Amino acid sequence: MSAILEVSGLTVRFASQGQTVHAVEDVSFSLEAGQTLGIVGESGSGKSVTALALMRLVPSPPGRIVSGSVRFAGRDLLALNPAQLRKIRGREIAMIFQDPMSSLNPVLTVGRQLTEVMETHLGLDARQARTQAIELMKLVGIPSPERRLDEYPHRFSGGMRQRVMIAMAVACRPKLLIADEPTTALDVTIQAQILEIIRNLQRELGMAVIMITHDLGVVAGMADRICVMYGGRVVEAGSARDVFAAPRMPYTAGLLGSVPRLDRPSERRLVPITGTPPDSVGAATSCRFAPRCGLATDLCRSSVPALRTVAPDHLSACHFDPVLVSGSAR
Amino acid sequence: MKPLVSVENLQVHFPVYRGLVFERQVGTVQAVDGVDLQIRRGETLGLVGESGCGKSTVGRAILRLQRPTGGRILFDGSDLAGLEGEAMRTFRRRVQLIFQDPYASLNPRMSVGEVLAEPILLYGLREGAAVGERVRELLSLVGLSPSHAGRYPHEFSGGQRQRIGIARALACEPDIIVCDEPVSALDVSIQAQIVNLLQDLQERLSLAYLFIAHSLNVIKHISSRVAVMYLGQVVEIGDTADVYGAASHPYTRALLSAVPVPDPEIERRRTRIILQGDVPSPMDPPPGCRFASRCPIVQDRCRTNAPSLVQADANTSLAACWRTAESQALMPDLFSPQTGETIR
Repeated sequence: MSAILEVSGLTVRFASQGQTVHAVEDVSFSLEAGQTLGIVGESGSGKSVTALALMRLVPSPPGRIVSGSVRFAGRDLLALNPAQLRKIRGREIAMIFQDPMSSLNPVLTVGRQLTEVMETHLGLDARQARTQAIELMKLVGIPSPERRLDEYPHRFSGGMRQRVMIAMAVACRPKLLIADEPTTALDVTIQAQILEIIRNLQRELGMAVIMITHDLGVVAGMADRICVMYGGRVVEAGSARDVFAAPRMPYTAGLLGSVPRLDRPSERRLVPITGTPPDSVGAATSCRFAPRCGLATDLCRSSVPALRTVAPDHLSACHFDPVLVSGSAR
Repeated sequence: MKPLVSVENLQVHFPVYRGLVFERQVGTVQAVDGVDLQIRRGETLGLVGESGCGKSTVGRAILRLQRPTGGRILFDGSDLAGLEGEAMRTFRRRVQLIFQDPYASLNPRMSVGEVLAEPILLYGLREGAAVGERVRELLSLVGLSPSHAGRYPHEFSGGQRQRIGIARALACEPDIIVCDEPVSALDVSIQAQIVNLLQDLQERLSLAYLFIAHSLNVIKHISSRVAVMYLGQVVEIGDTADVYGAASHPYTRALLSAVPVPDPEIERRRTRIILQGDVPSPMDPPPGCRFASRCPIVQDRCRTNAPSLVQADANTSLAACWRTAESQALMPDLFSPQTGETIR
């Protein structure tokens, strides 16, 4: 199958107090129709900036997409003019965010915000759009949609708001849904509801999904493929099964060792990664993970490792290919 | 041995007013309604539940930051409501708190050394040069360099600030620390550092923790006993291994089934219990069992009669459910190989 999205060499920098923050550096990945890609990383790893850059939503200034290409269904999104881009945003690529309250307009009813999308992109009239909106609200499991359509966002709970956001996102049956930490602000039982809705919609509409999260459990349940980001770079990529079962980059193994697990006895001590995440200021001259890596050598401290194939369909950005057991960086 | 903290039938209700000129009470938020729990010396009691379940209010009542509207709390045998003067001062020293957001809880104009010295001087725990000595000792106890005493909070990262928050609590030489979501604002790799630190400190200083969090896996890892709250009440309480290994309350089982596990194989075939709807409003909780409106195994009696905490057999935790004896059979094992079915 051919890729619906192909990102290559994406590089985004921010100017900050006379310094350059290398937020996203040479990021490449591709995604097939109907597939889910999980982008995992901690705060500052560049995962959200990557998502914003795909939609050309990086605030500029201070941000700037320095280089790279984003090919979506045959077109390079980075080369389109604003009018062409508007036709794609919200229609072919939709996005949902962590905080649904700040993404909804508080002075417009939920119905107005839902129908606007369809009137703009699909050319529906008000009646048709309203009928469609009711269908969408049912699809995402909002009870009594006819009544709730006329209410304002503040009357909705966090989980219900996220459902509204998802309804808006899928209103035009997009080919790609980018979900940036969609369940981080929600309680765990509500998270389970939202993830199930995304899974079902994906199956029904055949969308590709990019799931951006810091939660390794969420990607394990959702993603076919995984990119692990650290300090602005993709440091490991592969199928979800391979990355979780046999991580090849010490950072990924470290992350897996850091999380307490429900499915295992808790007598074992956690194996944290020492130190703190990097700030990505200035160009990298070494492996960004080297200061925290137990296996680092002089080579790691003096040159940047390239992302290379270490097994079929499995990439890792490490000078070495250490044998790492999932759940511990022994 | 008598428990360090004993919470008996705790009730915290907040009146809700409406109207500006003719203000009248229109209802009561039953934030905490009839909670019983005990914390023993040197143990960690995990208090887990979703937002709005009342877990933080229980913590605040134990700290006497919130006056109960009913029931009582005993600390080391004496009723909190009656504490005054010197007894109150001693209580304030012996019960400490660490917060979710360490930055908001540190004074930006005070150096870390000043932050740590303040309680030492206030309670007269050290004098003269011994104060500085103690500050350096506290810093190394939490894994910071003693030379950082002159720095200000903004110079530290999130994880380091939480270490400062812990050191500040330890400066008072407490018996118990109420930890309210201490790691939920931190990155995964930093969370593990703080969890390990808290465990080490407990071992060395025989501290008790009330560990309040919404993250079930962190609670499982750190707690010796666990209480699960739903809508102002404890629905299940017991040893961690029992609560997590053989949960008796359908809400606990639903919570556990909703936590994603970082293993694609397990995720694919595990049984999921997807609860329908949202938590009802604490202003108007349902009569009978508060979980009845979302419970997958609800019966008629659940809607009218509230169950109390009972033990199904000697090897299980206490659960407030009419069907404790059956709930395990009704909701199959969560992690053993399954077909990946969904229970609603």
